Amino acid sequence: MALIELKNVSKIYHLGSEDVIALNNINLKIEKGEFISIIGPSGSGKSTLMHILGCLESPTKGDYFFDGVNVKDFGDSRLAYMRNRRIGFVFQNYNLLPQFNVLSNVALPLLYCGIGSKERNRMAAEALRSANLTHRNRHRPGELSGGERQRVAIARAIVNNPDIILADEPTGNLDQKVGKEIISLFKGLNKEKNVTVVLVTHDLNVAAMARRIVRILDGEIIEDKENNIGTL
Amino acid sequence: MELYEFFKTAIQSALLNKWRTFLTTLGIVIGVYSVVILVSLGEGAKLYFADLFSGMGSNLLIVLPGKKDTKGGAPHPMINTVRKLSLSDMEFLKKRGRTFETVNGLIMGGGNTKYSNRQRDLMIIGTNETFSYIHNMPVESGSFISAEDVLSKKKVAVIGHTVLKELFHNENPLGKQMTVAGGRFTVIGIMQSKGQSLGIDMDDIVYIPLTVAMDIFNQEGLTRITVKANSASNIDASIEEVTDLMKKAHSGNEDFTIISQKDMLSTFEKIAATMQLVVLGIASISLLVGGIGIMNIMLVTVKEKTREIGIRIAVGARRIDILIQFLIESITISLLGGIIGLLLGLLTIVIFNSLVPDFQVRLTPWIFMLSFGFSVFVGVVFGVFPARRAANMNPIDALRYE
Ligand SMILES: Nc1ncnc2c1ncn2[C@@H]1O[C@H](COP(=O)(O)OP(=O)(O)OP(=O)(O)O)[C@@H](O)[C@H]1O
Ligand SMILES: [Mg+2]
Repeated sequence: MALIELKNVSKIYHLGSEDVIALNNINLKIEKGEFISIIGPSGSGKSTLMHILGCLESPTKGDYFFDGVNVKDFGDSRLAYMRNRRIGFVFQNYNLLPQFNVLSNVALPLLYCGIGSKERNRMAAEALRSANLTHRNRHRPGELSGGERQRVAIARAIVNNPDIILADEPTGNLDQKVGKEIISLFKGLNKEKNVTVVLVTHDLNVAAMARRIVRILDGEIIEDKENNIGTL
Repeated sequence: MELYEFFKTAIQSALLNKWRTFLTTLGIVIGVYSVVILVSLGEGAKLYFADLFSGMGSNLLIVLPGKKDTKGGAPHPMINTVRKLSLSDMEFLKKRGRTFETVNGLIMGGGNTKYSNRQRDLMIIGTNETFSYIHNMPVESGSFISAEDVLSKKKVAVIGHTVLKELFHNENPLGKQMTVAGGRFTVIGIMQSKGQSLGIDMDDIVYIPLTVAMDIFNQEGLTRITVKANSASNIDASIEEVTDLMKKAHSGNEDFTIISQKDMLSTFEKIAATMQLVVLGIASISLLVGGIGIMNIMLVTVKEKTREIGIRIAVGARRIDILIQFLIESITISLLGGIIGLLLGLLTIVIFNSLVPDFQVRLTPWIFMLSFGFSVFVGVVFGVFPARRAANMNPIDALRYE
């Protein structure tokens, strides 16, 4: 069974009298352990797709099966559970809490699954090690570089051992060198922990590293191909 | 998320904007402070008056000249154009009364007293032999005024402790001569110390025979007649009989007022009830204002934290978690105000009590519960709206918020 299956998913925004079709009849299957990159021009619906996959938004039409269960019927707390335990989200702009230190930021998801503070800190520190960021635990996000911040965000995404990491342009704000490091971090997580990774990117070099590339245009999947020369 | 974590988050958030939090709590501080002070004052007053009236004795009736329709208070002295209370009224009551055992007549005035080279202005009470018994005020040494002293207008005086101290410098006054309102009196007794009552020093009084006082003050009327009923439980029958007899003595006119402890207590209770309403009014207005302040700040906080809310939802917070987080934050602010208000109130009461020892403001245990309950209530009521706004945010919009 596929980890994720979208069936005829559409997302339509109503802007006044005008309807914006952000996603149009998307069908997509993702198996466990895959590394997929999603590419497409600005406004094509990549983020919308990621938000639906991440249970941050629900589709206007169609069904979303996660591990064989239709997420469409989920209420708020089951959706929250999905975001908390099974999905890790990484944003382009990091989305860290500026008033919390690095360790607390990474431990944030654990607050919502009833884990005691000692264990939270232990798990957060471990996630930070997995993200190759040590000796920064007591710093605030504002004191870190962009690449370091993104490592914190990745640590937060993996702290609860999710099945899948959804990364929406995680290197968009980083220079090429640091971007490469971040991508290889995802690569390592995918290889070592068998975490499924879905990566939205504008960078064709980055996309080309994935074994599977999904191309989106105007809310539709126009290409979904194996990439045999991909290293991921 | 555990409750402890919610409070930790709330306190961190409150500390992030110390001044804002402090200013926001002010409304609640003032509200709780005024409730604490007013309730404690009310409780203190209740006790004080209950004490005072119980000292009066539940089986005593006081007959005052002049009629007042509303029960309880003394009539205004200026409307005293009616017939006065006379010695013969007193004798009549004494002779005919069946439901009461003793009658006392009393006349009050002020005057100058002298002993050796010292002098003192103080209260002079003219009364008869029953006074000491009726008011449960025995002499400490010597004797009180006797029936014979009243009858023969003997110039004798009984003095209180303050007089003894100030005028006689504690030398034995018994048998000594002192001047009271120009006349020479022989001191025959010293009253037991009684302390203060309603701000009057009950020991700074000279007692002389009733008849002598009437002459000195050139008065035909008594200030009041006090009747001691046979039993406190049958006080109503005594009131009826005294009314009856007094009417007879005053050719059918009810130109006098009878006060009982019951009347005074009920009057006081009415005052207390009114006061409590006023307290409630003040409290609810200030708590309303304080609550609106909290709601206002919480709306600002929710707006400022839009992004944070989005992040928390994205990593797995349920809407109920967000709701509780902001509700607890508003409760924390409100509770903080409540605690500050309570502490300020306690401080004020302690200072007040040490400055004014005669009137003790009373702290009741439930004032703590009340302040606590009020603060939590305000925090919840005025926190719900902002918290719901936070909980209902769309996470994607929240994450996009700049
Ligand atoms: N909340 C919304 N309300 C109305 N329209 C929206 C909303 N969110 C997205 N859209 C529209 O849906 C379309 C797809 O947007 P989306 O953000 O998914 O694009 P994208 O592929 O991620 O673009 P980019 O590469 O610039 O991030 C756009 O036309 C956008 O204007
Ligand atoms: Mg996007």
